[in-house]
Amino acid sequence: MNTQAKKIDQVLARGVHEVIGRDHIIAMLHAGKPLRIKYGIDPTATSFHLGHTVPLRKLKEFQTLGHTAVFIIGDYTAQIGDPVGKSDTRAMLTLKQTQDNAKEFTNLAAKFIDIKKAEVHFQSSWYNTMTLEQTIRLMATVTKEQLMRHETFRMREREGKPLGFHEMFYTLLMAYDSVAVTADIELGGPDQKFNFLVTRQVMERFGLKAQEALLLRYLPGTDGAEKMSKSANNFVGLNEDPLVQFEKIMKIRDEDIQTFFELITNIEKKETDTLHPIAAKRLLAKCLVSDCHGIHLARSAALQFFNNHPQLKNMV
Amino acid sequence: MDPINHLLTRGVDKIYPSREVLEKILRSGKKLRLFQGFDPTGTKLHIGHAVGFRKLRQWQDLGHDVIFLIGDGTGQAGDPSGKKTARDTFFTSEELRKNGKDYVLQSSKIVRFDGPNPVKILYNGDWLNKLGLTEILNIAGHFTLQQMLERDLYQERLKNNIPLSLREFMYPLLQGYDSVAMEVDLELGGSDQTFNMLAGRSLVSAMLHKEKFVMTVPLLTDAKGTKIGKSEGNVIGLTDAPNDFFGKIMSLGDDAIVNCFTLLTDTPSEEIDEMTKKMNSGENPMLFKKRLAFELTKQLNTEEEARQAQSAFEQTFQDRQAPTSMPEFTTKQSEWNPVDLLMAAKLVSSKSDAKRLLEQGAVEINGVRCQGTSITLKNNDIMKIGKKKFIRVIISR
Repeated sequence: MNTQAKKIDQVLARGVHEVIGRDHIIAMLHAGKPLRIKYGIDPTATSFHLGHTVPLRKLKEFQTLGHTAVFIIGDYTAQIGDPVGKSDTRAMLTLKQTQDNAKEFTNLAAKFIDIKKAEVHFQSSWYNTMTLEQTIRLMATVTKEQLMRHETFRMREREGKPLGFHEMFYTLLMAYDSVAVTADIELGGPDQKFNFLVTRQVMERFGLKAQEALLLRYLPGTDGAEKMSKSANNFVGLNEDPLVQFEKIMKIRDEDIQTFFELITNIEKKETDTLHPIAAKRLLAKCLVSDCHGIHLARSAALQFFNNHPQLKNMV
Repeated sequence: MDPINHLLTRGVDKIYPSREVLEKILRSGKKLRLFQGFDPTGTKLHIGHAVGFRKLRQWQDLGHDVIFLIGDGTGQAGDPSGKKTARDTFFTSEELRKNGKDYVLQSSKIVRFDGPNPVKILYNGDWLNKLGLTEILNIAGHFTLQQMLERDLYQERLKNNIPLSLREFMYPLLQGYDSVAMEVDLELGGSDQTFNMLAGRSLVSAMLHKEKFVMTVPLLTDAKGTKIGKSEGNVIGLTDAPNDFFGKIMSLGDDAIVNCFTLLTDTPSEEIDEMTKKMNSGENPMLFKKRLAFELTKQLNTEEEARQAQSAFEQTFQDRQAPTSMPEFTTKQSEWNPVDLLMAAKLVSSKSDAKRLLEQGAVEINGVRCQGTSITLKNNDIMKIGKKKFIRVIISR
């Protein structure tokens, strides 16, 4: 296997839960033409967490293969809030709130991708001027039955919980983003599969080639939960203090260590297999703090942590 | 009848939240701001539309502030009401606005757009087309999918597995927003619009914190519930020529007579009850239908035109009843000057008589009034002179 083929293999394997359109993606990657790789993030809060860096790292991998990273800041979808997995409708945020939240997003993303070579779009750059007629045309691309295949919507229906009509727009807006940026491949978590499939249909209705997608594995929560998330309060924030970040990583479950290495570092599995869990977590924590705050602050956070916990120091 | 009672009962299907609450406000002397909306999708306005127009006119005459809303904005979403499948045509704003002007012209047969307290014309494209996505999302956020699905129409589609485009859910939202944008106190519409109008009622309550009344008028149907006015290829248009219009009303089924009197005329209900009784006891419905046709033709045109339409109808009708045996006039000549023909057939005693009858239009051949200076006769043509004189033409070779 030549290097190129190996890299392609790697990009579709590391941290990947499922590939939508694998053969097509492989063919596109081998064709050598630069592809447009989309990843969108909702500024529902002022910062994002470690879980979001998983797709950002994948974007970076595509960048190193010569493809274009298209980073979308969902200042419109964040107003609605992704209903996925939520048993209740959330109050809407205002556009001003989501845009205020997003102020640091580009800087944060710049820590993980080559921001100069990436395209950064706020959804508002196409949704601010979207007319009623265009909105209606967008709505006409899907049926109610299709949207109701959404796991969350079915759950709400089953449990008799209200489903806000605006929530049905969430998927449509995500889908239209792909139309606006003519995405070739989109990145997201396994819970985005439904949205990605609808997106394919919407793109075709707009006369475009349907995008493919990479569903990336979830980064576990610091408490061992399947998924790191803000709402479960089991996250490591990228803006958090270096020592706080360090402490949080040192607390993850031993059985999650390999998943963390795979998802938030470039380190090969064979290099960490034999490490003592504390040593492994120390390495992980240093990598993360270094990504967020630089190598110097990572080192001092490590020092401080082990000064505070001398009993752990002796274990490595 | 007391005008407020009349307004709230005659030709009214339902009032939301209730007639009592609305009546109290009207009795207090408050003038309301109300509207009815029409999506100008280009169809000819017909007598079914007149039910609402007449109600609007009543509100107008009582001094209320009436808005005739042209749905050039909602027309884009396409009203799914009564539609069994998803529509796939889109009208452009321009097409809709042009059609809207036609609607105003047609409806001006019933509502007044000039004079004191004229009906105001507004276009909902003026505010709907300015709605941004954020505002649309906010409006949508006031409704749950479950509420939207309560609609019978959607239930029916779901039951039959017919796709429901998400676009169709937009319609009630947009129509609802009209009430907010115009800050109205009441919306008037056909009973098939109830769901959309109630969507506006809840939106006004959520966004303006006030009460919007809804008044529905019944759909114009015959006794069996079949819609009247726009059956395939036989629209009874408000702007039809009087003779056509009269004839079309006469071709309605007998079981449409009572509903039409109730919803389309001011004939007192006691009289309508009387007619019902008479028809039930075997009196010929034709007489009542003729009266209906006359009333409606007069309403939409002039009394004189209604009279002419009626006599034209009667003449045609009586022609069909022409006696089977009648005097014959045998001739070899087929081209005639009308005066000479009347003389030759001994139908008149003088040329001046002939001229007078022709001028009065009292001469018909096969039911068609005789005009011009020459007539071509065929074998077996039937000529009618005045009301009772018939003659059969025999062309001998």
